[in-house]
Amino acid sequence: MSVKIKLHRMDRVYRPPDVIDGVIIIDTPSSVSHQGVRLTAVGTIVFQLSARQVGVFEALYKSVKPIELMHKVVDIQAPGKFPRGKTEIPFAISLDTPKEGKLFESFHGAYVNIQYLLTAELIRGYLQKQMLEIVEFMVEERKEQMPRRLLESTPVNFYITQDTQKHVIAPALRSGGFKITGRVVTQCPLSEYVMGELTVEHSAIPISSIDLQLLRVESIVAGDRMATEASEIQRTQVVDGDVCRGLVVPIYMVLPRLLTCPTLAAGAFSLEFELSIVVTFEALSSRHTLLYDPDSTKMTTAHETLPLRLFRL
Amino acid sequence: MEYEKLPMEVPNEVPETGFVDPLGANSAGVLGGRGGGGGGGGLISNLGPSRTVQRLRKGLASDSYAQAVAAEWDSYKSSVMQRFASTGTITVTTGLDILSKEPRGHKKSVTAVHLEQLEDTEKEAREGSKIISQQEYITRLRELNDEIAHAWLNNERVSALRLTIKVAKLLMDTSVPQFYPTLFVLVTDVMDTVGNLVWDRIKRKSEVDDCDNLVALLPAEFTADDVRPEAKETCSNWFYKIGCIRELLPRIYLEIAILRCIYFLEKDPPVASIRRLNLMLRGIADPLASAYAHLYLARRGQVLFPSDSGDSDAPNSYGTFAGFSQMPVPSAISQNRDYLINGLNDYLFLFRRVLQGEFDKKISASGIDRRLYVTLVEPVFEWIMKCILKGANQEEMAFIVHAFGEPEPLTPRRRSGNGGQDNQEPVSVLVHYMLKQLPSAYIASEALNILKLVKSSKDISLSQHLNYKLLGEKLCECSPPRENQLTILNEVWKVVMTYASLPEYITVADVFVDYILQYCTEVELAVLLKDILKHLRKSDASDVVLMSLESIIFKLVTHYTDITKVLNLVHVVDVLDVFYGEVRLSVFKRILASVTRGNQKISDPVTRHIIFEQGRVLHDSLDSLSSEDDRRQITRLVARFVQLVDLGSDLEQHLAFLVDCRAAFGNMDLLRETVVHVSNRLSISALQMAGGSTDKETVEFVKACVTFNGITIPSITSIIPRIHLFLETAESAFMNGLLSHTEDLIKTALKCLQDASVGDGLKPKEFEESVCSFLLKLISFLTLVPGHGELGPFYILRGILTLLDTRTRLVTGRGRLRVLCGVVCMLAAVREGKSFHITLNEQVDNNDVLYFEDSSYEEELAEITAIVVDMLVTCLDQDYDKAQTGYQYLDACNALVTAFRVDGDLQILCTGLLQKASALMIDTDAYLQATAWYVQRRGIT
Repeated sequence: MSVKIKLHRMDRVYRPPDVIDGVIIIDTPSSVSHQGVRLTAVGTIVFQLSARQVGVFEALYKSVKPIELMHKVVDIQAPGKFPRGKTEIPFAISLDTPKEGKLFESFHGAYVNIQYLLTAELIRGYLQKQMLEIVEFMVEERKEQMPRRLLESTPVNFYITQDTQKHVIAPALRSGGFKITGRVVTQCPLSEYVMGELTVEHSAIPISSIDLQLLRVESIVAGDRMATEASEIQRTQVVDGDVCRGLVVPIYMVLPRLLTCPTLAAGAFSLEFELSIVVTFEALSSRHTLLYDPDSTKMTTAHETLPLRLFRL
Repeated sequence: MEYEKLPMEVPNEVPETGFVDPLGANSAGVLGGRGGGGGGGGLISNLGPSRTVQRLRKGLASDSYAQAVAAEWDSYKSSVMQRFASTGTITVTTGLDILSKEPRGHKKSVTAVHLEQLEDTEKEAREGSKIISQQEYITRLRELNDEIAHAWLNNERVSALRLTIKVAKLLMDTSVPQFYPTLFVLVTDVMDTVGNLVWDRIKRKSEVDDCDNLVALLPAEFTADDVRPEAKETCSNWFYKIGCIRELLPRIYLEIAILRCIYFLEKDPPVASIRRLNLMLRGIADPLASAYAHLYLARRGQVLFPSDSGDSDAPNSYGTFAGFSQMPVPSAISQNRDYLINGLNDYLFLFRRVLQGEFDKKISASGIDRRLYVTLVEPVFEWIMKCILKGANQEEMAFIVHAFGEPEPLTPRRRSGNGGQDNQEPVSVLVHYMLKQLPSAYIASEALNILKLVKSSKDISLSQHLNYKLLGEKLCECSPPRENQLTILNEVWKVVMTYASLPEYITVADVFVDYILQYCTEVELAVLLKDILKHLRKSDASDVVLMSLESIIFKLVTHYTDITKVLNLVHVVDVLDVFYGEVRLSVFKRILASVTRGNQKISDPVTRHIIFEQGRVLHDSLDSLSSEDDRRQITRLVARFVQLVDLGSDLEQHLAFLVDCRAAFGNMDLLRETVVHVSNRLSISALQMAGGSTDKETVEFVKACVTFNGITIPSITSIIPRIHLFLETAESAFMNGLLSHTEDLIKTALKCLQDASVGDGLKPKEFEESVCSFLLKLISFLTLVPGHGELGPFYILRGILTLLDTRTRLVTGRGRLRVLCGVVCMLAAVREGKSFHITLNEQVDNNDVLYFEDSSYEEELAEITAIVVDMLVTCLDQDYDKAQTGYQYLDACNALVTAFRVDGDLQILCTGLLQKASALMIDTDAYLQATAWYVQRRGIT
C-alpha cells in the first residue's frame, strides 16, 4: 500500500497567491478502511548549527527558534474505505500571503534553511501504521515591478589599488603598485547575469588571475548582537593570466539557481549576497611556500567586495 | 576611459522555471503527457509561419548545413596537424595536468591537497613529476574521448561533462607551444563530439516524451517555436551548467561547443552571445591560448550564421556591451563578419605585444624563439581571414582592407603610462592571409592601396617578401589597370631591390618576371634581369636561389616560343652562367626540351653555340650511375637539337659542326646515328645544289661526308642500325657517283653481318626480321648498282648468297625464303633491263648499260638465276615448320611465276608447289585461292 502526491506543476514552483493543486494517489492491494486523509502545508525557517562555527552559533541555536511561516491543514477526505487498486483524490491549497510579514522564498543555505513541505497523511487506527508522504515545493516571490530604466542607471564603479587593501600585502606588490578599475551592476535580477567590466590599468607584478567570488552572507540577530556568516557559493574567473593593460574585459557571471534567492532582511535574520573581485598576482616566493602557507598566498591577492542585491524581476 | 551606460538588455535566454537537472532529467518530475500534448498542438499550429522563416534563414538549424561546415574544417584540421606534426622527441612536462591538476596560479587549500593525496596516492606518484611524451599525451586524449562517449552512453552525463571540462582545461597549458596546435585539434575534437551529443540529446528530447514515445519529429529546419518546452528547459540548464564552470578558458570552449543549441531557445542568430564570448576572450592573456580560442569561436560561429551574407532582418545594435571599445563596423557588414573582425582586432592587440618581444622571456623558457612562436599562430589568422572574406562583397572587402591595413583608429583604447604600442603598421602575417583570401580581381583594382599596405608591414610575423610574392601572383591572375601597371612594378622594386637576402629577393623576382612578361615590355625585362644579375654577383647562390632562377628561365622559355629570342635577350646568357650542379642540368634540359618542342630550325650561330655547349654539359653529366631514363632523355634532346640545326648553304661548316658533335657527344649511339643521317642529308643537298651533276668541289665534299660516315658508323654498338647506316651512306655515295665507296660500304655492311652473332641485344626473332628487311633493301638497291670491273657484275649478289650459305642461322625459314624470292625478283628486274629508278645523278650507269649486249653477262645472269632458284627449292625442302610450309610454297610459287616466263621444268616445279600447298592448306584460304587464280591467269595449268 502506498500514498503518493503528484503536483500538477512539474517544476513545483509557486508564487503567492498561486494554488497548489494535484492529486493524492492511494494504491492498495486490498480494500482498506481509514479515518480520513489530511493534507498539511508547512513553511519554516530553520537555523542550522555549523560545524565550523560551533562557538558562536551554538549559543544562537539555543536562543533562535525555528520560525513558522505557514501552517495549513486541510482534511480532504472523510473517514471511509478505499477499494482495491488506485484511487486518486484531487486537492487544492491556496498559498496566501500571511497578514503580517510575507512568505520568504525557498532557500537552502549553510545556516539558514527556508523550506516548504506538503504532507499527505492517511489516518488510520492507533494500532496501525500511519501512511505519510512528504513532498517539498518551492516558493518564489512575486516578481518585483521595477522599471528597467532604474536598473540600467546603477552600475557601481570600483577600483582596486595597493591602498584599498585592508590586509597585509606583499612588499613587492605594495611598492610596485597596481590599479584595476571597473564597474559592475550590483542590482541583479535572479534570471539574469552579473554584468560589468574591468580594466587593468597598471600592475607592476604580473597578474595571474582575476576571479569573481559570489558570497552569501547570512545574519541572525540574537539578542542585541548580530551574528554574520559569509560563505563562497561560486567562483568565476574572468581573467586568466597577465592580461593586456588598458583592455576592457567583461565581467559576466551566471547566478547559480539553487544557491541564490532574493536578498532579504526580516527582523530576525537577513540573507544578503556580495560580489568580491579577487585579483591574484603571480607568486613572488617559491611554489612550495605558496602551497602550504596560507598567509603568503593571501599576501599576493587583492580584492574588492561589493554588495549585490538580487531580486525577482 | 569614457564611461558609457552599461545597459542590462540581455536577451532573456532562460525561461523562468525551476531547476531541473539536465543531466539527470530522467528522474525529474516531468509530466510527459500534458507537456507533450501541448507541444504537439503547438507544433502543428506553428508549421505555417516557421516555413517562411526557414526560407529566410537558409536552414540555420539544419544538420546538413552544420555538417557541411564541419567537413570544411576537417580538411583544414589535418593540414594543421601535418604542419605541426610532432616528432615525439619533444617531451611534455604535463605531469599532473592530464587529469588531476588544478589550474595554475589558483590556490588549492591545504586540506584539499592533503585529502587528494590521501585519496589518490598512487595517481600522485604516477603523475607527479613525470615527463610524458607527446604520443602518450595524444593516446591519453583519445582514451578520454572514448571515456566521455562511454559515460554519455551509460547516461552518466554528469561525469561526461566533468571529463569534458577536464579535457578543456588541458588547453590552459601552453608550456610546450609547438604542441599546442595539435593539442587544440585533439581537444576541439572532443568538444565537437560533446557539442553534437548535447545537440542530439536536446533534439531527441524535443521529439520524444519521457517514455520514449515519439511526439513529433522536428522539421529539418526548425525554429525555437517548434521545440517542446521540456527540451527548452534541458537546453537552458546546459547553458547554466556550463556557465558555472570556474575557469575562464574551459567555460568559453564549452559554451562555444554547445552554442548552436541556442536555436532551441531563440529564433535569431545568437549575436549577443557571440559578441559576449568574443569579449570574454579578452580575459585570456596567453597569446597562444587566446589565438586558438578565437579560432574555435570562428569555426563554430560559422554554423550559427547563414552561409550567405545578406541577412539583414536581425538587429544590428546589440545593446548589451555598448561600453566596450570595439571597431565601429558599418551596418553594411554582415554579422557573421562583424564578430570575427572585432575578435581578430582584439587579438591583434595581444599579438603586437608578442611581436614587440613582451613575451620573450616566457617563450624562451619553453625552448623556442619568437619567430617560431609566431608561426604557431598562423593557422588562426588563415582560418579567420578565410571566414571573414568568404563571400564578401566589394564594400565589405574595402572595409576589411581598411580595418586591418590602417589600424590606427581601430586599436583598443589605451591608458597613459603603459608603454603604448607605437607602431601601428599592419601585421604582415595578417596582410598575407588577407591577400590570400581576397579575390585577385579586387586586388588588381586596388593594387596601389594594397601595395602601400604590404610595404608598411614588415614585422617578424611573416617575411615581407612572401607578401610581395603573393601580391605578384594575384596580379598575374588578374590584370591591374593599365595606367598603374608600371607604377606598381616600380613601387615593388623600390623595396625589393634593397633586400639583403638573396633567396628572398629572387623569390619575388621570380613572380614579377611573370608580371613583366604579361604586362610590360622587354625594356623592363632587361632592367629586371640586370638587377637580378647585380644581386647574384653580391653573394653566392644557394640551391634555393637556383631553383627560383630556374623557374625564371623556364618562364622566359615558355613565354617566348622561339629559343633564339630568349637567348638573345640581354643578360639571359649571363644568368645562365650562374647555374651550377644539378639545377644547371635541369635548366639545360628545360631549354633543350623547349627547342625540341618548338621544332624550328636553328640557324642563329650564337644560339647554336650556346645550346651545343649546354648539350655537352648534359652529355658530360652522364656517367655509369645515371639512370637509363635520364640517359635516354638527354640523348633524345641532343639528337633532336642536332637535327634542327640548320646552316643553310654552308655545307662545309655544317659538316664541321657534325664533327664537333661527334667529338663532344661520344657516349651516345643515337647521336652518332643522327650525325650520320644529317651528313647523308648534306651530301644529297650538295648534289641538289650542284644541279644533279657533280663538279669536283661537290665530289670532294661528298667524299668528306662519306669518309666521315665511314669512320663514324663502326663505332655504333648495335649492329642493325650500323648496317642500315652503311647502306644509307652507300646510297648517298652512289647517287653522287662514288662507286668504289659504295662498293666498299656495302662490303663492310655484309662483313658486319658475317661477323655478327645472332641476337645482338635483340630477341632472335626481331633480329632475324631486321636482318631480313635489311637484305631485301640491299637487294633492291643492287638493281641499280653496277658490277665490279674485274670481279664480275654480280660480285655483291654472290657475296650475299655466300653469306646466306655460310651463316645459315642468320636468316632462317620464311625469312630466308623471302630474301631468296627477293633475289629472284631482283634478277628478273635486271634481266628486264629497265631502270625503274630515277637517279639524280646522270653520271652513274647501271649494269644493263655497262654490259649491254655482253654475252658473258647474259650467261652469268642465267647461271646465277639457276643457282638462286636451286637455293630456293632447297630452302623449301629444308624447312620443318609444317604450319608455315604451305605459305612458303605459295610464296615461292608466286615469286617464280611473277619473275619468269614459266615453262618446262619450271612449270612442273610451280604446279608441284601449288599442289603441295593445296594439300597442306584449307581450300578456302584466300592466299591459296589468289595464287591459284594468278597461276592460272599466267597460263599454267
